[in-house]
Amino acid sequence: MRYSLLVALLSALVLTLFISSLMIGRNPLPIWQAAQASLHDTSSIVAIILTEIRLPRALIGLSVGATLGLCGAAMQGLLRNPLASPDLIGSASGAALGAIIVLYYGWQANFSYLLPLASMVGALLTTLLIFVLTGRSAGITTLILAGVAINALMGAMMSLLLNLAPSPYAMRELVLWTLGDLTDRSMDDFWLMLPFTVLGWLLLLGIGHGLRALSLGEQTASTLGVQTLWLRWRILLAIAFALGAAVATTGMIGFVGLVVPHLLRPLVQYDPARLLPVSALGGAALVLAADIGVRLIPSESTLQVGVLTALVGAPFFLHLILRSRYEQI
Amino acid sequence: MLIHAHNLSFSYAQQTVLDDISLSLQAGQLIGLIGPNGASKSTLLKLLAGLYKPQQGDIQLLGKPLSAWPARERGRVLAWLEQQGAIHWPLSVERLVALGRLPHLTPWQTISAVDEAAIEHTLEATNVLHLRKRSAQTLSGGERSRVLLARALAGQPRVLLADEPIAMLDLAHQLQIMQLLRDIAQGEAGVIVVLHDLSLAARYCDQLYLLQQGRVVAQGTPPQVLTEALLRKVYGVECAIQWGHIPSITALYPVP
Repeated sequence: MRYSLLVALLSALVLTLFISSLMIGRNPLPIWQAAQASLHDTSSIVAIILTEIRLPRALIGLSVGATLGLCGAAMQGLLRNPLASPDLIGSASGAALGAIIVLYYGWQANFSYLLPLASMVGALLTTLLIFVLTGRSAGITTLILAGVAINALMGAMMSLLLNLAPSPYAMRELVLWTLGDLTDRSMDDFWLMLPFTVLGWLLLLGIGHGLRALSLGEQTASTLGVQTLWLRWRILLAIAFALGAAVATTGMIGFVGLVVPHLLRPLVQYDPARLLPVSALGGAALVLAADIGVRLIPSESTLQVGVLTALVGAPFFLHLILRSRYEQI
Repeated sequence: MLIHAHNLSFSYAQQTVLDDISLSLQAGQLIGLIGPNGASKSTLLKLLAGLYKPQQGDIQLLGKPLSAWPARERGRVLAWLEQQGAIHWPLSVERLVALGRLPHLTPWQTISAVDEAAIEHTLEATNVLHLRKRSAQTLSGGERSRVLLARALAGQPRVLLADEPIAMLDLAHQLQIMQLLRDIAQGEAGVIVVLHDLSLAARYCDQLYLLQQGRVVAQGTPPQVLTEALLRKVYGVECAIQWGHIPSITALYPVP
């Protein structure tokens, strides 16, 4: 498929899902009438549902999804490993731990920026730890082992906090938060995450040639004029900012960063540079779709988006492993 | 002078890997680095490519210290071909070879007509034009070596440092690639190549550097370096050497 056509199709998909996300819910809103109502009478029920409930939810879904897809593609390109993704190697759980510590002590009430900041520090430290553990050339085994170890460590610390949670209610809050969710988010949440998200995305601008050169290994890339150390740091900081902000806002939404680049890679002829923008679009589409999904699936209590992406993502991941095994024979 | 290396020493984990090596590459020269396994030929090449920094000595590339070159500018002048280099994604041969043009592009630039022409030319010269649409991961060992060489040549470097480029090739392709290196090493460009085949080294190279345990044991034209006594001393093998229109060096038996 031609690259421009792929970008156009994915953009159309994201736009469709975004608009659907505004329309679908407990109270279906005909989008055109709702938009007109919001313009004329901002205090009407329809206007409030659209601008204060649906719109922030859709905007956050869009940007968090794009961040997850983008970070996954960047990390896979950097480590030249299709199994590398921020959630699998522990960056996301690091971010989650940072946020949970703040939530546990209730510090965010005093200073709202503390929640994304703690998440960013968590993502930064875990990603840095992964880079230190795996060294310059990350073989699959080392990478997965390091990821398992870090995920286990972060998981244990989160369990400790849950264990010590002052009330069952607080515990439930913390658990739900680790599952990833987009409900009850406000425009304030969106504005809080936006600057860090954009900063992370900006750091990833112009890294395409570097990722391409890395297809030939780190040493050849550096003889091709790529500053490999700087490239590493850029991606590390981008993940810390964008993923940290995303996890602080929605909790952990798993498997998007792994599955989306994996699915789209053959469609861009395995070009790690072109994979970045299409993964951002694909990630946005997947999270928006999953968030629509949880609203459509009838259930007693609200389903969490992260649960749905994991339920769809994990079997898909197994399928990918099986397929790649057959292809290698 | 393309490359001038002076009194290079390099140690790794408190072990001296290269000891007091001087080497120079002139335009139009094809230099062969030969020597037994573990002689640090590849390490020397990596030093010359700027991948490692020597603890002692200095390297000049086109009269300017190697470390003073901005990375991308250096990439346009000097290409390094890794021994059995990696290909991490199943890119098409064409796209893989195009990576050699990266030093000529700014971060947002895409391949131009000039780049296309250079890629086309190298694909042809390395005899892989018919593979251009193939996925790099479906290539045979020999095809892969030639594609990776094409990648290194696509940037049209003045200096090519090639680490065993013919190790995986059949007889016909060995001759073809050595002739190609010979053709490249003329005019303004020069080539340093690590070789194990001494007959081909004798036939194609202008100068040979014979390395043993990180030191240059002998250096000069092929007849100066490839003597029975020296090969016996360095490789521990008795050899039969015939100098003719096409030189041939045959290993006979290990020295007891």
